[in-house]
Amino acid sequence: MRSLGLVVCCLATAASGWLNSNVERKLDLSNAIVRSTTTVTAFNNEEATDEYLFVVPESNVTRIAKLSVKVDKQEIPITETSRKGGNVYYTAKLKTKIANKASVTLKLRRSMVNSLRPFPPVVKQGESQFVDYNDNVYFLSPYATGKQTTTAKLASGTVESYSKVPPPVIQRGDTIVFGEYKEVEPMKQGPLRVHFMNNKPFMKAVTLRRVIEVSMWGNLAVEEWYAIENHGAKLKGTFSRLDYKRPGHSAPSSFTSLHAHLPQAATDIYFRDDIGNISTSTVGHADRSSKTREVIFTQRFPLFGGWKTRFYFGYNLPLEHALTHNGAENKLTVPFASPVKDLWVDDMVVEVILPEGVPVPEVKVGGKVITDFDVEYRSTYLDYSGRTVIVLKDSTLASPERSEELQVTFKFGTKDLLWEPIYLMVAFMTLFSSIIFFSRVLG
Amino acid sequence: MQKRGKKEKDEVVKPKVEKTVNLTLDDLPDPSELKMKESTLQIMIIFLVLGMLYIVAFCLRLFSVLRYESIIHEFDPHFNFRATKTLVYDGVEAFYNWFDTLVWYPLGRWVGHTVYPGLMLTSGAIYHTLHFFHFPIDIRNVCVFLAPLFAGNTALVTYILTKDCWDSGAGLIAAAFVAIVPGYISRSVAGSYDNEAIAIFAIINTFMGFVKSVKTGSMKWAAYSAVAYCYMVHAWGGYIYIINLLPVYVYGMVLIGRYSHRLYVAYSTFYVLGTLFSLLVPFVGFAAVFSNTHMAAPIVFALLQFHNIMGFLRMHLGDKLALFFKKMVSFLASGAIAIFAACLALGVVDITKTGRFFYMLNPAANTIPIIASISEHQATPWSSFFFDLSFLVLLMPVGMYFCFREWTDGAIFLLTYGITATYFGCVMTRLILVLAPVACMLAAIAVSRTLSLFMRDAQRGSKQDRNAVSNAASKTVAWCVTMLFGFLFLFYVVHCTWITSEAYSSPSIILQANGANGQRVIFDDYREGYFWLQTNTAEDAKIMSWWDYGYQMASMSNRTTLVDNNTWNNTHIATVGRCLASSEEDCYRIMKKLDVDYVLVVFGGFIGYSSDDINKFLWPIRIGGSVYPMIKEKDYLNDHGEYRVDAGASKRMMNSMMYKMCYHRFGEVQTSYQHPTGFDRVRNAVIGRKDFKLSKIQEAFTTEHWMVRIYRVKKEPNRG
Repeated sequence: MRSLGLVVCCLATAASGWLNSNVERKLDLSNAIVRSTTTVTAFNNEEATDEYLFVVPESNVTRIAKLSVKVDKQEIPITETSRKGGNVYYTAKLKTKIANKASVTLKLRRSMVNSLRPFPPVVKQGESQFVDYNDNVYFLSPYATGKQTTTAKLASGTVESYSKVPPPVIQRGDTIVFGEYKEVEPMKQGPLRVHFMNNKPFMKAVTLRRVIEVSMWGNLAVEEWYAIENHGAKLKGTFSRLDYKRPGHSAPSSFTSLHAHLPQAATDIYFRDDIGNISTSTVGHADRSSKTREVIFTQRFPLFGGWKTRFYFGYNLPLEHALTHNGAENKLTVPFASPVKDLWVDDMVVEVILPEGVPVPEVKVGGKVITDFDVEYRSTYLDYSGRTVIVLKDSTLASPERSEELQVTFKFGTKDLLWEPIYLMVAFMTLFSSIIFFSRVLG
Repeated sequence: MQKRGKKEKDEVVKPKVEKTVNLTLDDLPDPSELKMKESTLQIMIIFLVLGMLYIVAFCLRLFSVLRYESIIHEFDPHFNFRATKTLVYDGVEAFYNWFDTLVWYPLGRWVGHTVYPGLMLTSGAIYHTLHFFHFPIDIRNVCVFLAPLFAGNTALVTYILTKDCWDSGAGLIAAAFVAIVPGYISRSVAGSYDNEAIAIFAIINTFMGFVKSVKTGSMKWAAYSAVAYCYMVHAWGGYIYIINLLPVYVYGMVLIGRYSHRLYVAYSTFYVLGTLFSLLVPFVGFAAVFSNTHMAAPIVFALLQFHNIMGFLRMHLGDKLALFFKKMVSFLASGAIAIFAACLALGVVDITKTGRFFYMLNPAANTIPIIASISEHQATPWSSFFFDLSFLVLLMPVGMYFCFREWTDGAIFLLTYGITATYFGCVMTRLILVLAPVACMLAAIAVSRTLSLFMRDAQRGSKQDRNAVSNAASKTVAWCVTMLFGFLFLFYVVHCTWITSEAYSSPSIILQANGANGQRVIFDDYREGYFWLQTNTAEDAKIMSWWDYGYQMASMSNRTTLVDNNTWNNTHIATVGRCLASSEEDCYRIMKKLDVDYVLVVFGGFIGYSSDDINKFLWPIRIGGSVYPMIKEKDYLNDHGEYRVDAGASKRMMNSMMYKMCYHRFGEVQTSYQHPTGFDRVRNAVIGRKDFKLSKIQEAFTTEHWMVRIYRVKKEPNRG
């Protein structure tokens, strides 16, 4: 079976005749989320083709928050083609066919969560957190590679150890350069390991529930429920408030705040948890260029490794910032992922509450039509049949990687808006006329 | 309009004052019924005023929501809130069968049968009604705004009761008084989600039905009163007051010769239905029939039947046979009393049960430290009468005087209510709450009567001959009195608003102070600590603390506690008290036996928060000492008998677990620039023991201002 797989694999590699003439890989290890940018200059050895294959080890796939390929700053579509020998093959579809003996430059971006393993797994308060990073020292590709280098940017210059084979491996401050390696054969692997200090907050939302409620009277209410955990090295022993407050002696890997970019027009921002208001949040000035406003959500207590908390926040947005309409056809456009920066979201549920009586709408995420969503009906104020609720699920997300937009197109005309006032008018009419009737007849 | 009605009434009343126990007089309705029927305009005005009072009563109680947030206050409301959530989410049946394993570890508590469920049922009903109409209101908001809502209801029923006892004008004034009286606001601000919040409404409602029934002889109103009483029994333990006050009133009426069939119908209906209804509450159950605190009601019920039969016999058989019958019944009654005494001697009927009720009747006799330790059980200081009732304190006796003058069934009822409530208000601070409505009603009668008298003078002077000297003088006096009352009203409104804003609108789990630059500083340490427990301890973690924080912890941390504000098991509380007062080794042994994982203390020395555990510490010692003789209060005081924390503190004190947990590493903290490190800002002293280490427990969490300190109990080390 394995040999068969190997044969197929060889066939696959043999079938396409690309050669990576130059690969430059940049690993950004300075955060909790590992971001890599690989610039590949590929040379076509055979007849013209518009397909380029690249490989990700199967064990890494579930940890990928974002995978994209750009050619000339334009994103091109990628599809998973096959899984062989513990690897997953993706095909990038180029815009144009690349002729024989011609080159193309691709930019692969990959964001990975859960790739930095805290080592030691427990630290005392006041101790720094060290993490261990393991990867392939070569760029994993089904094609042969001419020359390649890997540059790892670390969170600090404090490096405990790193793999030094194959040479040359050079450390300069907080960067380590692996290579340059020449004439690397296809699918070649070798261990890359860095053990270094990284005190960046390891924020993880175990669950996130975003509720977006459309009121056709002109308001969009957004509420987001987070269960947050610090997934860095766990705190061992005591927590001393005295030491925490003492300057220069505090807990380097703990965090208290989450930074979020909310829309500039957001009003009535609130920040609460199960037991009430959390009075420590700051709304920053609007950032004109990105049309956002930074809001800092400071938690009730600092989060050390392994500590958890829960909270939710919400805001209102005038509907014209999110909804466009063409007759009875309305198009709602909102960000799909969490607005919180550098947050790994493990499981996310997005609920879009549409007005009552809306038929099942068309849903797009990042331009792609989504069909696997649930539809519920939920009754709130003055509803009779319940509002249409779209429930979308997604997992392993990281912001700001997932900047794509959620687009919901639904039908709702102006006359549908009049039902609720009519209910109210009838109800009050009945009330008053019955009072008049009874006071005349009985009084 | 009311003065004319009043005058007519006076004229009507006078010829019929010589009322005797005569059956023929029963057919006449009570004199105060004979009033002018209000015109439509008057009804409109009354509706308008009452509507406005409802809004005022509601809005005045919202200071805390506006200043802080929609949050449940203090201690007991947190339990009520948690119970309400159970009721709403799990259903009524599950609520009645709810055995709470989260509290009183390892004993637990059968909450469904040890709680007055009225409050939860009310919120649940409101919640489900609103949700039925698809109003997605949060259960917390229902609970927070329930008390203000019922304050509005109380104003309405106060109006009706006063109107029935006196007249419509006094009713409106009483409603206005009660809407903003601080003594009632203290227990009914938004967020103060406690039994009393709805109980005052239930009390007045019961009385209203009863007085209406006594006045009209209507069984319908007596039944209404019994239903209202049923609600009251569901709502608050204070229903005992009603079931004793009404018999006292009825018995008094019989004694002073005002027995009537109306009274008979009212009380008989009320007693039978009311007792049946009160059996419905699991917590009350057969206590409504057997308990000695309820005994006045059946005795008066029997007397009333006897009295009525006597009247009937006298009418049909003549005096002689009736007298024979009376003797026979007296003989039987003495036999019954003898049997009762025998039961008492054999212990079938228990009247030795002491509790808050007897503590209330005779506060001096009781020395149970757990009851005495609660500040709201202390006797009322004089100043708080004025604080809570303002000038109503002065006008209440005037109202009583007018009631004596008037001497109708309603007025006598108000007198009975007023006099007994004054007694209880003096005994216990928190019973000012019961006094407040009747003080409002009596004061309203005084105001209404006086004003109608003088305003008539004032008006007459303007209309009739102006040159008459006496008229001019009386007119001046009349205007002065009217203006004086106007001033008093203004003062009352200002006083009530100020007190509500300053004294009664703090949720007590969030503290607020003004910073150096005048900005608001929020101390949210309680919630910080509680939420840390909820999110960062194992779900089955057991947390030990002094009982004050039990309810809050169960509600906000959702973790198991050992003791809480229910205080049903004195021994268990004493064990915790002993543990906190012991040395670290002894405490550790007890904690291991109780399976404790975390210990929580509240410490105010860092920011100067005075109601912390060190200041309360003498109570754990006393309560612990009341069960465990090795804990002695004098060991914790120094040689001069002083309670101190500085170098002059006793050795035992400095060695106690409480001291160590509160002051752990506090010796390294500089709280004030003028003082050395370890300066306690509550006790104004540098702590006596700075350098010590904890070996059996370790600091798990301390909140930002050190107010809540949580320690983890270390596991026993492995062998070898």
